Amino acid sequence: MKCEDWQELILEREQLELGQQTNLAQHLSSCEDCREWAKALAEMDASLTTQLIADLNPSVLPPRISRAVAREKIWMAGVPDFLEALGWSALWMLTMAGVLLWTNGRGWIGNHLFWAGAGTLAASLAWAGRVLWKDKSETRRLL
Amino acid sequence: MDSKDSTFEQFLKTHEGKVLRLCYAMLGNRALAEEAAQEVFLRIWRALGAFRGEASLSTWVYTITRNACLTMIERTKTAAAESLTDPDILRRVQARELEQARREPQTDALAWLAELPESQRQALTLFYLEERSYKEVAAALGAPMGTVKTWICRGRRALVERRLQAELMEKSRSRT
Repeated sequence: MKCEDWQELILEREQLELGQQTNLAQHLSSCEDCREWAKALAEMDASLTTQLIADLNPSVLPPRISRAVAREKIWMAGVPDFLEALGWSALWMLTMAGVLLWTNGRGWIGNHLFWAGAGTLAASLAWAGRVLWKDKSETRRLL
Repeated sequence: MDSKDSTFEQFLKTHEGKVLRLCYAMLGNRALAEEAAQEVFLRIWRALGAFRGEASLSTWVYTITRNACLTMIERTKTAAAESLTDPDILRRVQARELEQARREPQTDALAWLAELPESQRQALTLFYLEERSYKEVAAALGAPMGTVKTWICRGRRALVERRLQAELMEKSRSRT
């Protein structure tokens, strides 16, 4: 076996069977190059383990995550209000579509756009009043 | 505190280390790793109710973590590409590269580790952080055990060669 092959065994030393470990130990006692190689590997392993662990410590993650989750919760809490607004808008748009169809061709209603705009404004104000002034309004907290 | 909060708090305690180590191994930088880990836990918090237990919990966590890291790698690459179109930044990068080339060869193991191909660097970083468990590294990276062993062996061999080379250079320099 060449030194390169013995070095492969050194890399997997912990997983070698007893016979292979004995052979490796015998080779190491007689080969200075492989001994030096094994020493360099052990030092490298130890040095990298220490440096990597030190680089990751101490962890400041949990408080940071708690803050991020708290922020997320506030946003999430506003979602029902937003969905409620969407529902109101959809309802209002359907009503307006119905009104516009019904009034189509009836001159006495006047300007359709004006009535649509006025209705939308009224519905928006109603929604704002309902959402912002209800008990425990998350949207109000957000604003 | 509701039950989702207490489950999440428990979850954070048990998985914080694993997630942070995988992020660190994949991104090679602590600040980015913390940012990615925060994103991972936010995704987990949002999805906590949706976890059905079809995969094992750690497989699920590792998958979310790898995806978050890949997104971050993409984002970082795009930002780097954009910044390199700025002539001022380009000049500064070139100046720094010139200065590095002029300096003495690096003798820091972490710097050598950073120079390895990405798969080897990620596997090796996890190998050292996960108490040298091939099984844990393979599970975290979602790669077959044999492949992970090859990456780790090649990486360690390359690092030892670098170290021996540096020692040799150091000896010859001290003689002259």
